[in-house]
Amino acid sequence: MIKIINGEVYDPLNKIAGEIREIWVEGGKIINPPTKPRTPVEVIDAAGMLVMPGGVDIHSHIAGSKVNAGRVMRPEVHGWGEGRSLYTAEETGHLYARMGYTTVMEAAVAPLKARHTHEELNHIPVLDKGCYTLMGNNHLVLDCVRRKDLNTLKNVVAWLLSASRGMALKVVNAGGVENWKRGGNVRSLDDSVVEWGVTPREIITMLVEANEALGLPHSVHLHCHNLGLPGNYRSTLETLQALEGRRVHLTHLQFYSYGGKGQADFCSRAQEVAEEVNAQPLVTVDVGQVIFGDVTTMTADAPAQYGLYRITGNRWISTDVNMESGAGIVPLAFRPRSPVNSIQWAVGLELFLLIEDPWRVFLTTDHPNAGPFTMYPQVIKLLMDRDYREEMMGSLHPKTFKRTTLAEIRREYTLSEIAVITRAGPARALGLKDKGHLGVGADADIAIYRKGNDWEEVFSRAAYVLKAGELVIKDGEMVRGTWGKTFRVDTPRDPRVEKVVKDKYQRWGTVSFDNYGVEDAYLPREEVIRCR
Amino acid sequence: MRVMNKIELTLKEETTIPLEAEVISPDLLAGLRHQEICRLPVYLGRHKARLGDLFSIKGERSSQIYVQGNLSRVKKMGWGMSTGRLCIAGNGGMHLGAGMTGGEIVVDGNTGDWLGAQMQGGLIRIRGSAGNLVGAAYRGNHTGMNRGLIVIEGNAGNMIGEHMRRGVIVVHGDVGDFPGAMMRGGTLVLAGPVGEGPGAGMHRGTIVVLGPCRILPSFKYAAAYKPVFLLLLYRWLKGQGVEIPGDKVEAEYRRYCGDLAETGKGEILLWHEAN
Amino acid sequence: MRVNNVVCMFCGALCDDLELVVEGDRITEVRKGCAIGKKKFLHYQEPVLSPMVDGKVVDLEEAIQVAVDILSSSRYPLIYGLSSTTCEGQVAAVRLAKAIGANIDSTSSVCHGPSTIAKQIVGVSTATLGEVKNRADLVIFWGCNPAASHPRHFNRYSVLPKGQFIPGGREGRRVVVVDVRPTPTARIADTFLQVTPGGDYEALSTLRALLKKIPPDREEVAGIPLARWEELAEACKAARYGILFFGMGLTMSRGRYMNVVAALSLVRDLNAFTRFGAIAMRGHGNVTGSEQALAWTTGYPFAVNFSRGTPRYSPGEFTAVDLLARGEVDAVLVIASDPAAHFPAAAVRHLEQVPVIALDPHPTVTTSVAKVVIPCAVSGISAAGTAYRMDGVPLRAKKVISVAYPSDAEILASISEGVKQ
Repeated sequence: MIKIINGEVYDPLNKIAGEIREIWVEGGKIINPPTKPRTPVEVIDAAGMLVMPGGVDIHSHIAGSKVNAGRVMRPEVHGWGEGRSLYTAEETGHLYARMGYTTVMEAAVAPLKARHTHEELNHIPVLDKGCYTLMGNNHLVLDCVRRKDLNTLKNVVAWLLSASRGMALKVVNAGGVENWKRGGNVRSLDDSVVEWGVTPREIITMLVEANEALGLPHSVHLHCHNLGLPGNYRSTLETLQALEGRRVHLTHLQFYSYGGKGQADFCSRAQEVAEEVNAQPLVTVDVGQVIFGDVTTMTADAPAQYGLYRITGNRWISTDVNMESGAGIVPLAFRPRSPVNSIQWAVGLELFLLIEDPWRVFLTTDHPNAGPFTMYPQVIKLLMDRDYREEMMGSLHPKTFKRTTLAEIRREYTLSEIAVITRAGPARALGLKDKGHLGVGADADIAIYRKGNDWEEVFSRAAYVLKAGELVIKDGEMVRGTWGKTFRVDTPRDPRVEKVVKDKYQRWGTVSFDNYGVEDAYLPREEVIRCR
Repeated sequence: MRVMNKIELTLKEETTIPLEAEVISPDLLAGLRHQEICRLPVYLGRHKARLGDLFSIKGERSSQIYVQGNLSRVKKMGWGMSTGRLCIAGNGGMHLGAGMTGGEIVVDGNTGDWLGAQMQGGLIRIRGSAGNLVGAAYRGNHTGMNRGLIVIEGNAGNMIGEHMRRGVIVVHGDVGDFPGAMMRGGTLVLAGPVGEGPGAGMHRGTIVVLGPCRILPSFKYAAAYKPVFLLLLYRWLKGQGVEIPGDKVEAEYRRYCGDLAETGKGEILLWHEAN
Repeated sequence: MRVNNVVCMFCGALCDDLELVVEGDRITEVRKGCAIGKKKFLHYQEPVLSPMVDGKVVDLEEAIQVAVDILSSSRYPLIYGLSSTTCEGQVAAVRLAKAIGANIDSTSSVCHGPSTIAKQIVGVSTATLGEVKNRADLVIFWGCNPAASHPRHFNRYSVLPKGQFIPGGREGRRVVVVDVRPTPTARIADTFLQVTPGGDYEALSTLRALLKKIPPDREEVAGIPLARWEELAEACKAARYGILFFGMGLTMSRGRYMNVVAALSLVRDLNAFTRFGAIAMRGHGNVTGSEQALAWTTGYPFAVNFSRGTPRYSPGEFTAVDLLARGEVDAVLVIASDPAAHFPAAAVRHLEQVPVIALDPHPTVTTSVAKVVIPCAVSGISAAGTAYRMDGVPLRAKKVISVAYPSDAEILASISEGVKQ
């Protein structure tokens, strides 16, 4: 039994903002203060410290085939130092934990390679995790969309989630990756997906419908088309309008809020995008904040990555995954002296500051795409400390301020708001009821930070981190290695869907149908979220 | 006050287990007393040891360092050095002078792979032969040697000057395959016979070939001429104590442009009597 | 008892449709496998070695204890092999390497290590084998001979199957083979280009120059008339979906990783015209998995050194062949491979001089020179675990029968426990 005393508690879900409260922990859970403790009580004195729920990352790339391919391709960026962005499984767990993060979602998994993702997730210490199953270019899905068969689609989605042991439904450049396999892409919601006679609009709207009909805890996790291209804010708005107010999560929105036609007139359209998000109360987003320095871009958006290779001439990995998906990896550097890069940096902050409801905008860097997750504390400081923000803006390309509104924004985040965008909000959006808060019954994942003047320092190294009630970090150092669990969803489905799926796999797949789904052996510590 | 004497290190016992001794560098030793030098950490295989355990050491506080013995298993000497002089009486091991930015390394014998890898300045002179990947980039990096001069009086292995960006490498003896592979700039002067594929995948830079060699099909013959640039290069090299043998100074060279599979902005200058 | 959909771990094609008949603890019948696979399942299902130290039979605990003693007193150990074991075994080997500050390397330094180095220079455009089946209308085999090394490759993936967008199967594909000799694979080719030995780099960079419309000024490259290379370059550009399979003819011949750099660059450049990919013909059952497991545990694909605690990577320096040929290591633990049979003479000479610990179910040249022999269960027959196909698709290899000896992973964990005490 552990008792945390004297700490300033920030628990936005339970409307606690900076009150000194006691928190009691037993059996991995937060409990009511016992009248008579049965077991010896270990006391953590958090005087002069902030107590928050453990951090929850809704979108990161930490395990699986493309993360590992990135590691293999870039032996020059391993380790913990500056400019390092690719960590081993063990380092990933330690580095997240010492920032007070305890739950992280791997954001893109092709079902055929899901076994790989789970194998790696099992080697990440401390964290609870889950993964999102890619479906926006899956042939089973495209076939249902072509036939406008929502019922089968629902069952296919349920089956794919089960086969891949996924946590949520992910869509990446719907239809665009399929076209890439013929050298093409899609540029608007109404472009055609070759050989399928469907459009991205149809794929996205039907998948959102299926997701909601199944009652999945997280909304569709949507990576739009035209990633990173000038003028793409139009397709972002178009996508939001097409969904007519339905629940959806737009990921790394920063990469989709650009105006202009090319490099010369590249500019921010974060304001328009933020307004649309503000107007649609069921929409959540994460930002994908740019961090200056060396990154490794990796995404299932294979055609976008080919574009990035053509611009930079850097190394390029591209993998087509049959019937399902693709992937691309390109190393990149974000430079403050580049007008485009510094505008991208500003766009991220604009979104944070212009989207009014912190419960709908979450802190991510789309690790390791826009920056390493280890830089989250810097982003927190940028949001909380306007002086620091302005100081940093001073080192940027001067065009940044003519083409963004960042200089005019005066908002500073409060500690409660930070607690929302880094833990309470993402936990709620994921439907993880025991995460992101410190109420009785919640998982005892607790981050305790020593207060200070520099918010980056405060959030970089937690004074204490409890994971499932066990002390894992003390003064930023690992004191105990533990193994977290893997979340996955399970939703009832018509058993007849198996026949439909099996028939297709036997004809066009290359592994036996019985060997396709991830076996239980790969989820030794799972928590199943059952729907309906 | 720095006293202008020298430090002498003598390897006590030849080792088959590799010894990593990046501390053998003028930058570090110049400021240390004898006791401190003896205590510097080195790695013998998987065990940490002290420099004094493996070397008998004379002198202190000097940037003139003399190392003796068969040091072919001693890695990383002169790693990142920026000043002073490191003289090796014997063979040197891998990564000698890698990442150095200034100063001078002189080796009487042979050295291993990665000599002067990612070097950024200074001078390395080898009386014997060097291994593979002289002046190259480490794996994953795209910038190898980037300024400085490496002179090898014997032979050199494969892939010398891989991803080289600036600086000069001169090899008097034979060189192995793919010298100047994926070169981005700088100059290679190869006085002896050259292996397969010189300049493979090069973007920019110059490879001067005085011995026999086969040019890749992705290089195009441009012209035969007497490059003024070489006159200046040879004169500069002479100033550095590097003689180019024979009457190649004012001779005619055949210029090949390549690698055309890449940008085609590099060149091979082949001495007219070479083939 | 029938066991269906069994994964065959004997080559990188990782066929997973085998049907076994098991009677008690014996496999009595194998269906669907190739001749090699069938033979392995029928004749190599049980470990036939006994634990031995210096040629004398001992019990398992004693053999493990001697292994622990050797590794504990070693000053610069090497852990080598990994390609025929499961990822669970590979991860256990990395843990041991970390515990004893060892070098750890896979067989890729004698097969596709150069391909990985080339990926670190160029990247790679690639695809799963299912895309080859469903889309590839141009298939090039360069310096590889799957007809002999991956017998069901043509059938399952690359040449014969009817694909989603290749309804005609074999008729819908053009098959090109480039090699230094007419191999059995060349017999099934529509076009066979016999290049002169050592000519691969020249040929590949000629193709790249041709894509840029800069033909070399010579009539013949690598022993083939230029016109035929021009024709191949045009065929590549005109393909709807092209795939280049490459093998040890590129990686282990003169030029090594530069050959692969040229091949991967060619494939990358072709994407300006059409979708094109390259796949390394990985040989051993789980050599691809060794690259994966090492990458997520150490950050590096092979040739990793732990002598200073944190992992470091340097092919040529920490690769097994080089460590042995230079006589640097003083103890070697070999897992699931046979370096004494396959390494160059200089490396084998040193292997014969240092204490070798061999984990293997079956006698090999290496077990015959080893000081300590520890038999283990056969991965994919009597030990379950993950294996990665040559295209990176992971599969779960089954445990079909039980044997008296533990798996590689379990033995390595015991050794790790021992050295920590």
